[in-house]
Amino acid sequence: MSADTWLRSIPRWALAAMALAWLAVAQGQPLTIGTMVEPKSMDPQLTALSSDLSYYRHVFDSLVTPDDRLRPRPGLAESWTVVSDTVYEFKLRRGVRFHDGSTFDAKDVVYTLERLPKVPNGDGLTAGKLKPIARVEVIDPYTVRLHTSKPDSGILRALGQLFILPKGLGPNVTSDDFSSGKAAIGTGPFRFVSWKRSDNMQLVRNDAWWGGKPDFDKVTFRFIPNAASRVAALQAGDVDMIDFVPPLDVPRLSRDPKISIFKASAARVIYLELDTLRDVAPGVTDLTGKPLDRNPFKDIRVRRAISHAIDRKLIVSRVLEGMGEPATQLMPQGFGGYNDALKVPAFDPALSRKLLAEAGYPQGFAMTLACTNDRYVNDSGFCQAIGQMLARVGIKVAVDAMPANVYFPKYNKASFGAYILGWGNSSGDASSVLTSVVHSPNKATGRGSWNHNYRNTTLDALIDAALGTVDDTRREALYAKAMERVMEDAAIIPLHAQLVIVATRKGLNYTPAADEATLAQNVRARKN
Amino acid sequence: MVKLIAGRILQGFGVLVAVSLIAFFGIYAIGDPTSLLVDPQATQQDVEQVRHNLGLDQPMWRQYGLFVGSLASGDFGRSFATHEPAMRMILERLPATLELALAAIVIAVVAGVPAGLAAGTHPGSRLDRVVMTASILGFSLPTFWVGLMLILVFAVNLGWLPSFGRGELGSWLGIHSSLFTLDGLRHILLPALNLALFPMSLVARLTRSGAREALELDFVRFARAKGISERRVVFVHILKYISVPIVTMIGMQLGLLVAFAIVTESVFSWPGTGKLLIESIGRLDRPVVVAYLLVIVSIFVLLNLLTDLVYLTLDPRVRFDAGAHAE
Repeated sequence: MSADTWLRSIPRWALAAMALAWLAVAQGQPLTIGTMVEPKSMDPQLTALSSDLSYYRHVFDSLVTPDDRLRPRPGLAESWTVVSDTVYEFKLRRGVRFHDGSTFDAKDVVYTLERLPKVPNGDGLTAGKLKPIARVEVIDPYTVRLHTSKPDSGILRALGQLFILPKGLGPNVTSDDFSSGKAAIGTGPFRFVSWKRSDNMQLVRNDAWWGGKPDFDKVTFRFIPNAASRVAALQAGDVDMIDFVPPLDVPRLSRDPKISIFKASAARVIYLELDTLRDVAPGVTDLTGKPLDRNPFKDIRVRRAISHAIDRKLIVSRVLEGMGEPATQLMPQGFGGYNDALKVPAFDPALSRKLLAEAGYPQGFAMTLACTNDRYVNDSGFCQAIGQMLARVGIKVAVDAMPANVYFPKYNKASFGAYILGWGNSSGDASSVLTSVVHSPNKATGRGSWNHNYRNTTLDALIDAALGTVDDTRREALYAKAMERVMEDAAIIPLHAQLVIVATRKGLNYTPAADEATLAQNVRARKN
Repeated sequence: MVKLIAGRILQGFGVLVAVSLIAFFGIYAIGDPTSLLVDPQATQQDVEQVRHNLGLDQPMWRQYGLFVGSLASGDFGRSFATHEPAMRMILERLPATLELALAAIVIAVVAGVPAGLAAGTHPGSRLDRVVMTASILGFSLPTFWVGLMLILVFAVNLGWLPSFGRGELGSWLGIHSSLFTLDGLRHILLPALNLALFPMSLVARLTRSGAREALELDFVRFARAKGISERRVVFVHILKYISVPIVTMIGMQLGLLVAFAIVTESVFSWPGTGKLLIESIGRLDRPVVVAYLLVIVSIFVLLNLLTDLVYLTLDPRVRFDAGAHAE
């Protein structure tokens, strides 16, 4: 071999080596994920807990699949058209097979919808969201029409939680069959292998998946609820990736050359809510602890004073170590119906004091602020920070932080006058927060289930109109308008949006999903 | 002796009733878990439905009555969260916890007894001071902190041992346990050591004080005067004399280790009952918590009974006493 042919052959060698390296990646390697949550069940129709959905998304597919910003994207339905205000038509993907070899078609969609309301011990929540579907019409094996009883814009997003099951499972399949793996059969990117309770779940790649081949052929989820242990497991190299990284560990982990960090703004927005309804708000007194003659939160000036007294940027940069975003509204940026005109409420203690004086509280008053201490990222920390910020404008705050399992039962009995909550916005648009948190409670429609303390009939009408508008642009304009009214009223005061933080060993790429789902199909081996 | 056993079992039954009542009403007092169990977007109607399905809309005394009623037929109720039978969830995880507690108690005895003997037979020596200081640390350092430090040193920095979890299972005589594989032993070492620190310190201190006391006693002096070797004096005569309180302590500690492996299990993600308990308390999953407490109390009662029986063989005086009462 002469010198120059040898030289010319170098690129080919390099190419071959690259191809080999790529093959090694494509042939697949095992991936071990240290995760905070263990599913309650592998029956995708038993409960609608968002923490379990991420497991279902590995094994099953839905007609419509949310992308990483929770926008509806084609799943087992290749495309859909809005035939009329109450009819959606779905063209199903052809040539898709379930893990047991059976072919997917319209009959499976019918079977799935039929089983949904009949699951033994089921909480019926997914069924509730899909209740507007009055009838399923099979046009041909690959065309399905869903008829709703009245115009309902939420159907498409709700279908993202309807995981399609093979009709071969029959009418008597139980949740236990799913959890044992016998019935955990979907069309998803991974097949179920085993689930050792409290320990791990194993999956293997479904090479025939329509959505493209994931990079890893064997995926093991290891359940590590303790955050410090999760971080240590990654650092020790026992797992390749961990979810729900505590923000306080992020600076340290970023300095570790063996670790990569991936962040994205989460759908969850933290907010402060004030009791604007009752004549006496629990925990609110004058500065000496005597009851006040009226509830100060009924006065919009007091509510605005509180909003302007909170320095959201400082909370994010100091208490959350930069792992959050100051919120302009009850939803993170980029979600359907986000109002771009809204700004983060100005931090202005002088204005707060002025507003309080105008409202008749020049000396301020005292209140109890209830919050959780184990539910949201550093919740007891920012709760105390807010307490001190309010103290600077004359409102004496007693911070009452408690575990979530004590907090939520109390919250449900409406025992708080001022309290902090987070909303997951899992629908990917303004619909869920406006329906459940802002709308007045209504037993018949189920709206306002997280609203104890706020009524605004104008807003109710606006939200109802938006929910019944099928046209995307018009609906989102209505959402944006509603959100503006919510901010004006300052009864529900947004604080900040959390971040999804995932850490991997070097050499992996991860696309975080806004709903905090940890998805093995979003992990890619980096091809250098 | 039959009377003694029957008495103990009857007492144990009373304790079980008391514990189930306390756990049941304690969790009831915290509040309604429904909101922790359903998706936040659930409507009021859905939440009511879930509450009804779980029987949480019934008055407290009725819920307890239903619980006791189904208990009579061996049904401990289903978990609010997973809808699986609560007792099955616990029994599934119990082997992992028992194995961890057993490994810990073995470490505690193997390390604690010799250390205590050495310290007790050389009072005031440097060895004695080292053992005493180490045991104080073993008592007082918080388990979760020591656990994290062990992970940091041996798993993260040195990379010798895995940082969490239970290893591969092996089987021997039909028992499945991670104690039978090398991978399993590597996994159990750190959590077992962490769990062993407290009982190890206890055993060492107890052995030390027993040995010191025994050194002054006539039978030891006599044995020495007879010219028996020092090794035989310590390991046969003294050890036998002090074994009764140590065995009692080990029996009690084994129960405690099963019950309080909670922190160690959480730190090391050990898939045992403690990890399950923490998660269940977090979501007020009453059937699981109550079933767990009943199992743990039963284990305690059983261990107490076993300890009593071992006593009988170790200490003839107890045997004759018990015999006299039983006749």
